[in-house]
Amino acid sequence: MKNILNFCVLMAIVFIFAGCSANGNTAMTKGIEKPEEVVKKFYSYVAEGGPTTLREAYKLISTKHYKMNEEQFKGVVSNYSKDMKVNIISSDIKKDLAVVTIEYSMPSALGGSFTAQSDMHLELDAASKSWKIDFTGETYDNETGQTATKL
Amino acid sequence: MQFRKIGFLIAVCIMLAAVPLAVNAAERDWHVTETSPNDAPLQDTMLMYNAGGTDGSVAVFGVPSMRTYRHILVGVDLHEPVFSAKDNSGNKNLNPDGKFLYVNDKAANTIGVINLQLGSLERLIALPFPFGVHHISLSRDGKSLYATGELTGKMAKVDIATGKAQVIDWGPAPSAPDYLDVSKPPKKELIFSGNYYHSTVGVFQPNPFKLIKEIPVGKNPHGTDAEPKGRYIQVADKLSATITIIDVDSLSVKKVIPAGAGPLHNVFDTKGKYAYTSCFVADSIVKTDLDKLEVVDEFPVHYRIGHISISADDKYVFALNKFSTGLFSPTGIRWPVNHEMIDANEKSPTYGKTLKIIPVDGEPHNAKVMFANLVKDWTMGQAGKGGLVDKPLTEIRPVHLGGAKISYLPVDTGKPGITVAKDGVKEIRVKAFSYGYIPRQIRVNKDDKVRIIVTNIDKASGITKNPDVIMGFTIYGPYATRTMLHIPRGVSLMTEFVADYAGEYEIYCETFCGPLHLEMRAAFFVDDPKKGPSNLGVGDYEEAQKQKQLNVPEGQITAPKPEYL
Repeated sequence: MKNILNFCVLMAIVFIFAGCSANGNTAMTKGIEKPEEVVKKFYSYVAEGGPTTLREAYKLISTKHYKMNEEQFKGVVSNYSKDMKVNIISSDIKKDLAVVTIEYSMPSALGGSFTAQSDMHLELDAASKSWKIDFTGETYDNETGQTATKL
Repeated sequence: MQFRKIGFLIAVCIMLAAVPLAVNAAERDWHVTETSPNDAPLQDTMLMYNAGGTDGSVAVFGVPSMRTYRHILVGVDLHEPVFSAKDNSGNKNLNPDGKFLYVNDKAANTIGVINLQLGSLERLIALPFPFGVHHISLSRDGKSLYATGELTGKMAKVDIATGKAQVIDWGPAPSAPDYLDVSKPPKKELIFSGNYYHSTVGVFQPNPFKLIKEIPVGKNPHGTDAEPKGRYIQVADKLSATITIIDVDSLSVKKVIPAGAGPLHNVFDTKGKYAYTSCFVADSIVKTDLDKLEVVDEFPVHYRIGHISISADDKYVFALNKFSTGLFSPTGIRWPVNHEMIDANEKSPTYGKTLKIIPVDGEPHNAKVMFANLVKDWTMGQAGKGGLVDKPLTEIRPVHLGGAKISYLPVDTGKPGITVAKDGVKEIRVKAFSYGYIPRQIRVNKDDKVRIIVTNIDKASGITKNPDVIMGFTIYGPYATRTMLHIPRGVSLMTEFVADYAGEYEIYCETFCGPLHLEMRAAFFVDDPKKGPSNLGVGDYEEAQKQKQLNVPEGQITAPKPEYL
């Protein structure tokens, strides 16, 4: 009986650890919109443009470290090329931070097109239980200017 | 007779009693803006000419109304306006003759000549390369302009009539001649320039033009200004939070005065009684008694004052503020900066208070004020009758940023440095922060197609913690109109062009970002395989001096070969 009890306790511990490490904090992010879906929605709003739609895009950015002024935000994204195409390449989550790699392309002034990749950081907002985009790069590594968090 | 004297004395006493005593700085509430019926007249008694920095224009404001009268397009990035005069007597405004305003363009490396009677740009003096002019000051005889080559460690004496420049090196490198002024009569003519890399003030003689002495001052001196009586040069030691007083006779430091944090520039009243020093970090103007050489008052400003100006009648001091956080409605990515008019008249009941604060365009640099009656009235047919038009009139309109191909991108998280893209374009990723760039040196070949992507990686806007902070990126000289990126947080900006001029061209931050904004620099090298690696001695500098980027017709730009002393 004692052996069976010990076995049960051991299995419980194993399940707890397995649950935590398998995919970040699955429990915390379960049931909420995935980071790549947030990014996709963000760029669809930006592409559509207009004050009301851009306000919806503004709601998707994080205010945890810095609250960007809405008008300034709208000014920035309104300057993106109207011909910019964005594709999601990958998405990864660790605890309350996600990195979504996008590839975007647009016409180049030198002829042809310009294509580049960018790692977008998203933070889990506990209050709204949703992923928010770190638009101003507060979670990036200042020393090198590169993506800081190695997942 | 005795009764009349007594009566007169009583009347004087009553008048004095009616004037409230000046309120000291601690009791002053800046937001109590006092107005009078005379503060917005239809015709202003004075005109302020303000170099508008990145908007490439000189803005004309009325004083005391502070209404904008007009903008005069000159070039790319304007810094120091100087009135023409028969000599350099007077305070920072000089004693203008009302004919011309000279203004230097740091990005394009030119000096614009504005005809004040026409109200437009009449001529451009193209300075030699390499140089990188930051400020200019009028010579004693009013016929030359001295100029600091901040970006290359050089100084120049420019003949206004011919545009010919005498250029000298001020070593050792790194050397950054920054802000300069010329001693006032009756003292002999000497040129004083701060050098923020040397932390000294250099003293130059005019003929022959050469360095004769370096005087150690506080850390990273900026404003270096001659007071109107000729006794002193007042130096704003930016990082030491001090004001160094240099005695013009002995060419030595007479006194070091503690100031507010981040002193940047000085102005003086016309009598040489008081000096006013802008203190960026302290958000204040410090007032110094020039006889006692001690601080006597301090005025709060809103916010982050850079340059400072004074009205022609000494009654108003103007804080030319770099940030306006929360004061005005947003106008897009770039926030409005402001001019704040402060009552400097000690006899006024509103002495020391902010009278007006107005949002302004561009990123204003220095401003000078003259009496408005120096500009002739062209209305009602008086132009012909008054002899104002006695020769063909010239008005030139240079390109401001017409050559730029700039794109906004999602935050670029690529590694800083140079890579070759699939289409053969050299892709250069630069990270900008307070206060520097990674990488600091960029080297490409002549005729390379270049794609520069600059990302603002400043977290919470550096030490100023101010949301207004935007990082700048300008390659001076022939690439000025094709770069000049203003990069807010959360975005990358890209510019694409062909590197068609060989040489070494400095990169600087053209948008004020904090106390060490000036020190935020890097270099762009374009190598011509036929000439070898570029440097300050190897490059297409004669071609660059022709300033084709400004699209000014031939004959309207003066670009003589320089004389190297």
